[in-house]
Amino acid sequence: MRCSNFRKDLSAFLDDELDSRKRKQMELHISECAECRREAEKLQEMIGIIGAMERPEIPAQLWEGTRRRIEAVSELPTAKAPVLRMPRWVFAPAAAVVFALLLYLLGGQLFFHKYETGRIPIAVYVQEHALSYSEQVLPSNPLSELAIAQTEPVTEETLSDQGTSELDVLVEVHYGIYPTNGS
Amino acid sequence: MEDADLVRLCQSGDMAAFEQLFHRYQDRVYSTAYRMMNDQEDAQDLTQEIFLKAYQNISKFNFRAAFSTWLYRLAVNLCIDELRKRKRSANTMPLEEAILKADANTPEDHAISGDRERQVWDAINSLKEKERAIIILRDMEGLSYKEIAEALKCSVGRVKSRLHEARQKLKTILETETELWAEL
Repeated sequence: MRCSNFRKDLSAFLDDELDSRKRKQMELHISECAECRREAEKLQEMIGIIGAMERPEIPAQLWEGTRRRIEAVSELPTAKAPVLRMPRWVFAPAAAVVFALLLYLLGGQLFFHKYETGRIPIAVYVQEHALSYSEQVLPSNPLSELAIAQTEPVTEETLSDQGTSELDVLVEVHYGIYPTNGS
Repeated sequence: MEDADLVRLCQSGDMAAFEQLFHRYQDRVYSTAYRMMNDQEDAQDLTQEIFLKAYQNISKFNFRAAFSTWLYRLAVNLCIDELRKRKRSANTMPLEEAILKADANTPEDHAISGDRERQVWDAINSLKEKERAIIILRDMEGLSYKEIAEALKCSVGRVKSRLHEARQKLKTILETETELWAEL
């Protein structure tokens, strides 16, 4: 061990704060190097003088003075509920969830209402309207009635080929273009 | 009762528990303050201030370190702050006041006996605040490197190097300005 390395760790060595391996190296060097041994003795003596200094006497009424200062202060320590410390990474997704929830609750009124309204097929709307105002008995299934009126089977495909929709059938039945079973 | 139990009682507003902690640690806090400030009156004033701060901030104590090292941290920080404040105001202090203050620390004020101890004491007082603090915590208060690291909020490695530097500086002062080791 070099003298420079020895002196760098001398304080920790004297304070017994080195691991056993390092300590053995220091002990070996101190046994071999008179100059470093002398340095260790000086430092040990100085530390000893400092450590032997008596503690000063505690003044009387130290607690009374402290108590008066505490009482003079308006705030008193109160029991505080332990603060729930959440890791920072929780905040961003939590905020996103809250935002999405708010968006759904508030935006649903704006965006989904129309969509909900739009989901109601117009054919159903017309049928309901027709049922309310028609003087004739309307079929519950316009397609089947159309099949009775026509010779060929009627499907949604044939209807679309003819450019006819279910709505058209309902309208025509409503206005009596196709006879109903009752007539 | 253990420190942690007393602290929990303090956190719920139990003044009697705080008084117990006070009596348990008043000598350590006072001696630290006295050795930092080198003045009895200042040490008394600062000790009361340190415990006041401890009382006001007891709810923030999180039990990660020992209560004693937390208290030492408060003591060292408040003393260093006061010393630095006085350094700044010393430039504007009237001359008469500065002379009176310098004369206030008569030999009788010190709990020091013997020339050797006085030489070492004077040398310690000539160190910078942080150097003085680490010497006091280790060589006078007997804290381990780990406890000092908690009190000063630094690594054990940093404590080791800072303590070594402070001691070397102290030894150099004593070798050049005194005859402490002249006979050896």
